Amino acid sequence: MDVLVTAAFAFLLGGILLRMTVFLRRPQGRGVQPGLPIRGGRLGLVEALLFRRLWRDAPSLWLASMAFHGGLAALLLAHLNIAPHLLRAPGAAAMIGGLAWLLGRRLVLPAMRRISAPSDFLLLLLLLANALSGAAFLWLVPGEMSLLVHQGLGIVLFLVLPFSKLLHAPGIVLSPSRRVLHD
Amino acid sequence: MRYAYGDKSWPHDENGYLEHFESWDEDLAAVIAAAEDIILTPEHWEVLYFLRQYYADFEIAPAIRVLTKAVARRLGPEKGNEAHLRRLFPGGPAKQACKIAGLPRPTGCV
Amino acid sequence: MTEEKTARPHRARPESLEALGFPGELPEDWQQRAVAALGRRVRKQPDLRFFLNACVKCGACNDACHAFLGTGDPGNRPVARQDLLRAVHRRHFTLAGRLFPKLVGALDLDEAMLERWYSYFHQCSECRRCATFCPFGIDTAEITMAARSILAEIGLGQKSVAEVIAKVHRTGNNLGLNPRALRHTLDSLEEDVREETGMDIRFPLDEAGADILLVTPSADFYSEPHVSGLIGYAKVLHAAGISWTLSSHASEAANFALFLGSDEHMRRIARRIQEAAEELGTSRLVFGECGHAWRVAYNFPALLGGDVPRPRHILDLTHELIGNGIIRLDPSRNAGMAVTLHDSCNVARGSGMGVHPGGQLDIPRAVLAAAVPRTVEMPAGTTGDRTFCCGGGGGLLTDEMMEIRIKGAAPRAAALRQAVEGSGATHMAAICAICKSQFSEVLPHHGFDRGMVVGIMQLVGRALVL
Repeated sequence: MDVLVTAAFAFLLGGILLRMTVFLRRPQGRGVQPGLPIRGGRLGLVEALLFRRLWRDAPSLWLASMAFHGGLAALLLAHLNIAPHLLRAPGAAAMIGGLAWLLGRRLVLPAMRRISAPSDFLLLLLLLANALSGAAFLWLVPGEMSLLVHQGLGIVLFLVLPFSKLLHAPGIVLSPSRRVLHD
Repeated sequence: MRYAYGDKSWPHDENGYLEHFESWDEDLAAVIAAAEDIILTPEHWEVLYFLRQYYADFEIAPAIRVLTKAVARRLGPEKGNEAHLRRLFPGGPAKQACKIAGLPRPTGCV
Repeated sequence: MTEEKTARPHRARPESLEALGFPGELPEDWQQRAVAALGRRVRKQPDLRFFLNACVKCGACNDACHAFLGTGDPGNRPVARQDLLRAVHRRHFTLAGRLFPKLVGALDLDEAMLERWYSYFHQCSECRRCATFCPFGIDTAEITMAARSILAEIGLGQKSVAEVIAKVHRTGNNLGLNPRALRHTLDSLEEDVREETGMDIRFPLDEAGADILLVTPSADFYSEPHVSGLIGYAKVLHAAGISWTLSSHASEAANFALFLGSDEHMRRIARRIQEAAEELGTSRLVFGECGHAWRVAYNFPALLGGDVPRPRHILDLTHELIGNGIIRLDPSRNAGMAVTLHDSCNVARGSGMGVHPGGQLDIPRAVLAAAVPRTVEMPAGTTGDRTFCCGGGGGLLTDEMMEIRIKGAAPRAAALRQAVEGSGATHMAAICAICKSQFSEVLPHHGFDRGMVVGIMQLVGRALVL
C-alpha cells in the first residue's frame, strides 16, 4: 500500500508540473488585455494566503474557504509529522467544518446549484471522505481496515487533483488579468 | 420587411429604416409616422424635408446641432432646440426623424 | 436560427460579414468549424485557456453583473455566461470532458447551444466588473470576445457591429461621415462658438504639421451632449495655444473590432490612426472621451508594435494644463451643478491614465472638480474599479436591445438615485460616447431627465476662462 501511495504522490507532483504549463504560459502580445487595476495594491502572495478579495465580497464564503484550506494545511503538516498531536484535531475540525459549509451552500443555494456540475459535488465529497476516513482511523475505528480506506481515498485524490479544478492555487498568483497590469 | 400603402410598398431594414433613400415619398412618411404614433404637422414636414435635403447633399444625416440651427432659421429661434425637436419626434430627432424621412439609421456610439 | 424569448441583436447580413472576410451564412459544417476556431483561439491565447480552466465555481461573481442584476436572468450570471464556452471547450479539449461529459458539465455545440451563445454572448457588455470579483481574475470579456469571434467565423455576426467595422474601413468612422460633411459640421460648430464667445476658435481638419492629432469618437460630430465635449476640447487647445488637427482618414476613436474580439480588424482600425499621424506629420496623439477607444489606445504600443508611443487622454492633457496654470477654469460658470462621475468601464478597468497608478480614476475626478462648484460620489462599490457598466457597451447600443439596455442600466440608476437623494447630485458626467448615448436614452425610463447626462470636457468648455 505504501508503494501505491508513494506512486500516486509522484503522479500528483508530475501532474501538477504538467498543469503548471497552462498557468505559466505568458499571454502573447494581444494588445488589449491590460490588467484589472485594483485599488489598494495588487494581488500576490498576501492575496493567495488570505483571499483578501473574497473577504471583501463574500465573507461567509471566505470563512468556509479559510477553514477548509487552513485545516488542510494543518493536516498536511501533521502528515509530515510536524506537531501532529497539536494540529490533528483542530485541523480535522476546520477542514470538515469548512467542507460541510461549502457542500451545504452548493446544495442549498439555488444560484449555486445552478452553476454546479456533478463533478463539483463529487470533488467536495471526495475531500470530505478523505477527511472523515482519516478522522475515523484516528479516533473512531482505529485499525488496518480504516487505514486502507483512508489511503485508498488518498490515492484517488492524488490522481484526480492535478487534472481537476482542485488545482487552482497557482491561478490566484498567476492570473493573466493581473500579470499584464501596466505592461 | 416592407412598408405598404395602397399598391405601393417599400423595403425596410430590421429596425424599420428605409432600404432605398430615393424611393421615399410623402405617402411613405405618413405610413412610417403612423407606425410610430406620430401625426405629421407642417413643422414635422419642415424637419423631414431638411433632413432629406441634407442627406441628398452630404450622404449623411446632419448633426443634431446642425439640424436645430436649421429649424431655428425656418421655424423661429424659440423652436430651434433639441427639446422642441423631441416634442415633435419623441423617439429623438436622430433616430425617429431620420426613420420617417427615409434616411438610414445613424450608426456607432449614437 | 429561430426566434425565441431571450434577447438577441439582429444578425448581420451576408454581404456585411463577407466584407469583413467572414462567411455570410452558417456553413453546413459549422460545428466542426466552430470547434476548430475555438481550438485555434485557445492555442493562440494562453490567457483564454487559463480563464476556461481556472474556474472553481465558487460563486463569488454571482451578483457582480449589471445585466444579471437588471434582468434577474440567471443566464446572465458571469459564471453561467462563461460556462457556455467552457462546457464546449471541455467537451472537445479535455480528457474528462471527452470521457465523462455529463460528470464534468461538458456539452456539445448543438443548435440549442448555438442559440444560447448568440443570445448571451451578446448580452455581455464586456465591462469586466465580474473579473474584479473573481479570486482568479477570470475575465468574462475575453471569453465573450472569443465566443463572438468564433460566431463570426461561422457566419453569425451582429448586425450593427459588423456594419460599423465595415464602415470604418470604408469611410474612417462609425457614422459614415465623409470629409466634406465633416468639414461642414465643423464649420457650423465654429460659427456656434463664435456666436457664444465672440472668438475665432478653430476646428482644424487634416492640417499637416499640427502638433497634436486629436482622435475622437464620431459621435462627437453628431450627438448631444457629445458635440459639447468636442467644443470643450477645441476651447482648451485654443486657450493653451496648442496647434492641433482632426483627421478625415482617422475620424473615429472607437474600435468596434474589440467588441467582436477580432485582433485583425482591431489592428486595421488602429493602424488608420497611425497612418493619419504619419501623413499629417503630427507629433502627438490625443484621444477624446471614448471608453473602449481609450482601452485600445492605451494598448497601442502592444497592439501596433514597434516604437509607437502611447497616446494621451484629453483629460490627462487638460489636467496638466490646469495644474501648471496654462488654462484657468471658473467653476461658477457651472453654478448650481453638483456632478457625480460615472467611471466608464473600459477606462476604469481596462486602462490607466497619466503616470500614476489609478490615474484613470483620479484624473477625471480632478478635472471635474476644477470645472464645477461641487462634486459628489455615488455609493462605494458602484464606482472606481467597481463601476457599473452603463448597460450599452460592447455593441449593445442598438434599438432591438433596448429592453436589455434599460434593465442593464438599473444598477447604475439605483446608485445615481442615492447620489441625487442623499447628496443632491444634479448631473452625472461620463467620459465615453456610448455611456453618454446610452444614459441619455435610458435614464428617462428610470425617472431621470436625459439632460442630466453630461461630459467632463463639456463642463470644462463651459468653465474655461478664455
